[in-house]
Amino acid sequence: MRKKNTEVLASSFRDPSGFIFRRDDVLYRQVNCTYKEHYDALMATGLYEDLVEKKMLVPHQEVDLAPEIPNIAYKIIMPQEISFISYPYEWSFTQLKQAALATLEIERAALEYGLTLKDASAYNIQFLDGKPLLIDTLSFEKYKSGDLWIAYRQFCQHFLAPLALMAYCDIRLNQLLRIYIGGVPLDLTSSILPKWTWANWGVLIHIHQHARSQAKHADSHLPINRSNMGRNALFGLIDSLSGTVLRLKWQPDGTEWADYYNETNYTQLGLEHKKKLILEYLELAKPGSVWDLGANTGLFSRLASKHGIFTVAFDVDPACVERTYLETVKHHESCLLSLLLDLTNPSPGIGWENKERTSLIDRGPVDMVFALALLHHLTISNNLPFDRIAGFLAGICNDLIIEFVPKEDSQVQKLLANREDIFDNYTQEIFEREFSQNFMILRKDPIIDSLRTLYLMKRCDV
Amino acid sequence: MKKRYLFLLLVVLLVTQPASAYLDPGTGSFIWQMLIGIVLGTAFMLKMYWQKTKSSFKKLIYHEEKKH
Repeated sequence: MRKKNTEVLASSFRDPSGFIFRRDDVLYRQVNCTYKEHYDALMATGLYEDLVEKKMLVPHQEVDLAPEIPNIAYKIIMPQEISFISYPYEWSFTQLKQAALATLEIERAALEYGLTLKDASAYNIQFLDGKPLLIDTLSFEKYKSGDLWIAYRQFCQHFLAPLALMAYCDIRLNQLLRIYIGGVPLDLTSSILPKWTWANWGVLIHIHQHARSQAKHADSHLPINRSNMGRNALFGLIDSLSGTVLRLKWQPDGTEWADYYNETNYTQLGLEHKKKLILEYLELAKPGSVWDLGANTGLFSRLASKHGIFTVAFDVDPACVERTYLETVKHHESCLLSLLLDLTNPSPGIGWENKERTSLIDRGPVDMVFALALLHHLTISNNLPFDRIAGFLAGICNDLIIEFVPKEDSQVQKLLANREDIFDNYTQEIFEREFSQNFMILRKDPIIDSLRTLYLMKRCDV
Repeated sequence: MKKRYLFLLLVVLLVTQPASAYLDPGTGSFIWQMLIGIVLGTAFMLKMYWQKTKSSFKKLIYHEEKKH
């Protein structure tokens, strides 16, 4: 008999070893009987403790709970839940690189304990306290002498190919991961990469020649004896992949990070006042979580995260996301996650039934949204009317801190410099009227030394 | 006319690509992994030996320096 308030996650169908389900708002994983031998090996060999201690594998507890599908169940485990599930097409270059290196390190450790990773999916990695963490406890299986690494191709497609494309062609090519849920095809990667990359040993063997071998044998359908790989060969493979990934580097247009983004028209006094107001609003609303939309390098996101509020800093600029991530790692900021997002085209639901990887909206709602210096970009650069913006924001948050930047502001004037001003409705009065359809205005404060106004709003129906 | 159709059929048969739904990139990946495994495994072994030799040499020098 099916329990009430229980749901198997739509993304959890590929692996016969088990599946994830949510019951009474708690996340569980059913381990199936077919996986018993491998699960017991993971727990008994010491690999689980080792990886959990190194914060590389999600910790879990075995619980005494009625299984979701009893006739195939071996155990039910309750993994530590991740605050926000993110996807590789939302990560910066270094986030994807760190996730790749973590996967290889886990495989190396697994081999030492007599196990191996059967999956090397980027979707199995999430970020916790700034560090990549494997969240699929059922990714391991017992290593049999002579086995090759079954996840080699997946690793190349999920990690190496997008990283090489980002490093050697264009940082925006990580968006290919949004199209190819199984990872970027190696033949496509090989055809896009510059010719000189054939002289790069790691890229040559793991991408170019690998793709050629795939094409050559794609139609052979010959059964292969997969037990011809020595243990040293496996370690050699992992070592070579690690070296190749480590050598991939990216820095935006050779600029220095320190001065990369300094495009604001605030005076020091105005900036300090804005920070003070945000802190006051946070104190009033007391959110448990924040999404900062258009976070830039996370200056305002940190006002929340430094107070222990879990905050996701979204930005459309890969350089901003990269810089924010590097700083979170450097300063061990556990409550801040920086992610790439084009708010005018946010991550959609992809995969089977459009449900395997959920859309941004489906990963909400969040307690509070910051929309700071964002409104004019959405209305003037993207022709979005106020009511559509208010409707969207009301769908993803309860509380809102939003900044109104009037037409007279120099930043808005920049946007209007080469545009016909067709934005007659872009006035503070209409803004307040339209947003009042969805939100109550709790605070309204002009920011000193500027023409801007900051608002604290609460959704009407909360 | 018949000859023309026959020629076209021949062209179609010769040029037709295998149905992509049945193409398996996994086979080539396995074969490739086994091939490079030999090279990478040997290189890894040599690297390990070299590192061991280097560290033994360093230890030896360290002990010699300590003696003096």
